[in-house]
Amino acid sequence: MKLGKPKRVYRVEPIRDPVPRQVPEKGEPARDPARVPAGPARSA
Amino acid sequence: VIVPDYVEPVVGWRVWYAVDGGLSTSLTSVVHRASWPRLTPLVASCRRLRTAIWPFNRSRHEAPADGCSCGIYAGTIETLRIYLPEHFGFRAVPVVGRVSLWGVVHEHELGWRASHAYPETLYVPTPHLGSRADGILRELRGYGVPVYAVHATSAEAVLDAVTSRRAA
Repeated sequence: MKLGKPKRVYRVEPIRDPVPRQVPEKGEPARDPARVPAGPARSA
Repeated sequence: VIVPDYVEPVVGWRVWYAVDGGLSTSLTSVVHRASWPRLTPLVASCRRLRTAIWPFNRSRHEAPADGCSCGIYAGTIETLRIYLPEHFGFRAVPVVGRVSLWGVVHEHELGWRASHAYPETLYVPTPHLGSRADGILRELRGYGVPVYAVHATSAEAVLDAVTSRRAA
């Protein structure tokens, strides 16, 4: 996959696990995750 | 302690193949044929270390890394066109979908390379599959994410249908 030039690197640690724990029941609504910025990166 | 930059996964687009492995149908990557496990994140590793003819000048590193092409790829939906056949045949079962990316994420102009990934939504073009369609859709629902049939027979029509469904 051609992605073009690199721009930046960041660390993403989802609060909710993106991996389903089990197969959802039929008819369960789909999630629609959005990117939520957590503020500037810093180290402590 | 390193504070993350984002607390929700990056979501991009990619193409897989649905491959019948005998006992089950799994998603595999188009380029490297990596098999995507069910209910477990795919974790990137650098394959260049394994395939190098002269490996001694390559350093082992975590994926993705600067200066290497490793990592799990996803792009914008506009980048998918070249990975879809013009018209779908009976054997190959391409699957278009959204994928969650997290961990270390390298952002590029047209997409991302990430250390961890899992499918978020799957769209399966079904008209060419005939009687196999229901079984393939059922198998892919084993990933625990929404799986939709797309009634389109060409790459352009599939991408149009997926874009329309997302906008609805």
